[in-house]
Amino acid sequence: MLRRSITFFLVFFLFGFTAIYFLQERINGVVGEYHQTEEMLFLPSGPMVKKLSLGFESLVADIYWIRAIQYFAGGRMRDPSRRFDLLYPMLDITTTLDPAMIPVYEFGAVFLGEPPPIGANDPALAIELLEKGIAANPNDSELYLRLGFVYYWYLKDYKEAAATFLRGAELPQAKPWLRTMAAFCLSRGGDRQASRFLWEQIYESSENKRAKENALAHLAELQAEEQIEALEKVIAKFREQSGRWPRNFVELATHGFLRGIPLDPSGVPYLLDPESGKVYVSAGTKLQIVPK
Amino acid sequence: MNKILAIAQNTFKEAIRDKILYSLILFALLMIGSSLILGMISINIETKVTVDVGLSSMSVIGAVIAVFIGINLVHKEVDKRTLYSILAKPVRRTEFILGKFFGLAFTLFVNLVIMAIGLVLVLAYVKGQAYSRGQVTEIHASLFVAVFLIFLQLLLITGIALVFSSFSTPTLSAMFTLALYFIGQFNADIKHFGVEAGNVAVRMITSGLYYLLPNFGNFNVIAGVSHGKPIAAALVVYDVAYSIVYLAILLSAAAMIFSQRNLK
Amino acid sequence: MIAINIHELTKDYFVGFWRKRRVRALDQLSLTVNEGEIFGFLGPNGAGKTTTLKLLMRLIYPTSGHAEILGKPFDDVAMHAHIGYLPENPYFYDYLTAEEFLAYSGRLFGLSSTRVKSKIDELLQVVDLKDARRLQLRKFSKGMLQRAGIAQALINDPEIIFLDEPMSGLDPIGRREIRDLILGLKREGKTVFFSTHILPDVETLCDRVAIIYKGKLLGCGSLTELLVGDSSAIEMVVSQFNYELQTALRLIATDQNVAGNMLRLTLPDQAALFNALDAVRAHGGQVVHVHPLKESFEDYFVKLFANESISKAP
Repeated sequence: MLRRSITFFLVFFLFGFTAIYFLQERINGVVGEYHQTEEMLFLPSGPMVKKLSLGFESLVADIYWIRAIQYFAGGRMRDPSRRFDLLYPMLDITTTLDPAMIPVYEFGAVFLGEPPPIGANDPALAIELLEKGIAANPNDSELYLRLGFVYYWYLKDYKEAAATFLRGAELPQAKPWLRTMAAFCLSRGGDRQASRFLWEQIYESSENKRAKENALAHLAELQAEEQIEALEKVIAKFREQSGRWPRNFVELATHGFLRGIPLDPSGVPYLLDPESGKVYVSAGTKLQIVPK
Repeated sequence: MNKILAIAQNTFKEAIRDKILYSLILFALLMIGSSLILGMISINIETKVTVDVGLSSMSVIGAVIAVFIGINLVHKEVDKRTLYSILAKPVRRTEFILGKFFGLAFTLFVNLVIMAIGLVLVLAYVKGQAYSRGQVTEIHASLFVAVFLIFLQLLLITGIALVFSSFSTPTLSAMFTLALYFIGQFNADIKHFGVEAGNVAVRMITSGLYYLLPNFGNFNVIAGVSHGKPIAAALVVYDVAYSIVYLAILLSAAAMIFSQRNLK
Repeated sequence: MIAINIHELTKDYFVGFWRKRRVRALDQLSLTVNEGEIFGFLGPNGAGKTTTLKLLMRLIYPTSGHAEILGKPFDDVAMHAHIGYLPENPYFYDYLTAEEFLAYSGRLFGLSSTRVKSKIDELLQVVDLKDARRLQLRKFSKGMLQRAGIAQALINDPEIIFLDEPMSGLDPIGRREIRDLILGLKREGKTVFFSTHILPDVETLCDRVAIIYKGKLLGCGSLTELLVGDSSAIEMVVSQFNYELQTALRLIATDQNVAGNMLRLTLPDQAALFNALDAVRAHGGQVVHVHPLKESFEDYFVKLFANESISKAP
């Protein structure tokens, strides 16, 4: 008798939780998993949350961090035109609760600075967050890397970038190339070589999956830029020789200028505009970031 | 059916003749009243503070009542042996469990009504003050919807407490029920923690937990209501369905466990 | 008509924390109770009496065996509407009044509220709790609780009443009242099954008895059946005796003693009785009292347990 009622109950249990699954998804459809649309609008300040945490700041910081990532990732999927107004406040609260959470600063450095559709397009906020991180973690040279990088890439302020890298180089455990980078910035700011090196450093030192992906995307972008430059040089040579722009890449290949059809870093063929001789990335590219 | 009703009425009688209930209700009313003072400190958001404090107090105190009466529902009768003369009569064990549940459900309903009346009175006073200063606001119907959703939440807590009460001591039952109440506020975070962790096994476990654990976040609309935003009707419908299904699971678990028990 | 039929009912418990030991609380109990009789279930504390009753009431579940009550299986829910049960040391809801408690009990039997109301008046009268009608049960004395318990066991006018130690904790007046009540129930044609460890109660009330010890049934039957009087001894009380009579009787009687101005004699058989009568007549004594000596129930009981203890001795 016991066995029968247990099996009956387990079957009921199974049906029940299947129903729960569907209902939960419906509920999420109406209000979002965190009822984000409403709760998030009413975000209190960092110090206020800290008081309310009743000693569990570290745990609450973790929760805010998870929610910040979800806010960012989920939002992007739901609404491509979205602005990430709440990203900075959430990251700010997280770091007020737990100032030593380095990954949070690193995440903020990238996604606060990135232009839409990727990020919040506000490098000034990224700088504010990073300076806060540096103040709380003075011996972390990675943060100087990030800060210098914001000046370098998003603000194109090579003087400030160099200055920041030098600040970082002063630290006892600083990476040796910080000084080199400072020099690079002053002399060849904007140089593709320097940019690639920096993005590689960012990629290496990022722990966050999304930040890594972003770095790779930028590296691919740089690679594409380089390839396009090279291709356009070849095309120019062709024009020199034949007096006109080539019709397509096949023509270039046939005439021995190329070994084959050139593919962009994501494996999609480039487009050649026979009117202008310019090379473009195809609309069907899988690159996340496309060179201008 | 009549027997379930009889047991429910008896459970209700027991609850209202218990002095602890009155202390808790009084405490809740005090908290609601305290929002008058808090409101004075923060200008222009008296209404928001009143609703926030009021609804939050109702939710928490209601949960406390649900837990502390719930964990004793079965255990007290077994311990005191009052159950002997009940079960020797033509009463099924399942009927007993259901009767206990509905008795406490009704008790909670009455408590919420009392607290809601208190809140409405305080709110009317606060709004009256605001009105006299030239700010115009009305009491939204969404307030009562929020109270209803709190009621559903309390029913779930009762169900959980009842399951534990059917086989465990009051102390352990209280611990587990409160733990589930607390964890159930963070279901979404648990799930996303798993997503970020990357490990497939962890992700599967956390996803499973997301659906298995009671998701109390579904019923929490306090933030929206305090800003005067309406509550989507669809949410209420789904929440009711969710409660019914989840309660069915809980009550049948309690009934099954209890039916197998040898009473000491 | 058989009211209760128990067939090899067994209950095991498992005790101990890690390696559970099996303790057999009830071992293959089989007995029958006839309709309309008062049946005593006798045994020392811990013998298994309460276990048996709890099994019959579905409060605990048997390891093996089954039982029928009123011809239906003992776990038939509807059948429970025709029986009443008073648990040992009953404890009822503190916060209810006697009236409310009986009303609740009645409702659980499925009785209509009008029926219940009239029954409550009647029962409160029968158990003499009319004055305590509106008093909360938390204020009741032990005797009052016992009587309230009997009232709730009778509210559905049951055909069988199960009582677990109904006399426990009562003063002599209380015990008398319960005794009269049980006899009254028999007069109404009801069957009464009650457990106790008090011998005299069984002697005065029961038609049949079952004796249980350490979970096993040791004997079952009417008192006359159980107390096999192989003892043919006779007791005679004589007054106005003189020294010669005493000497003469000393030769015939197996035992004699003097209490006040009475001479009490134990005579081994009928032949000795006639000899003694001749002696009394010859010496001018007066016969006050003659009666055959049966083995007392207490003797039987003690002998039974002595056997049990001896058979279990290493």
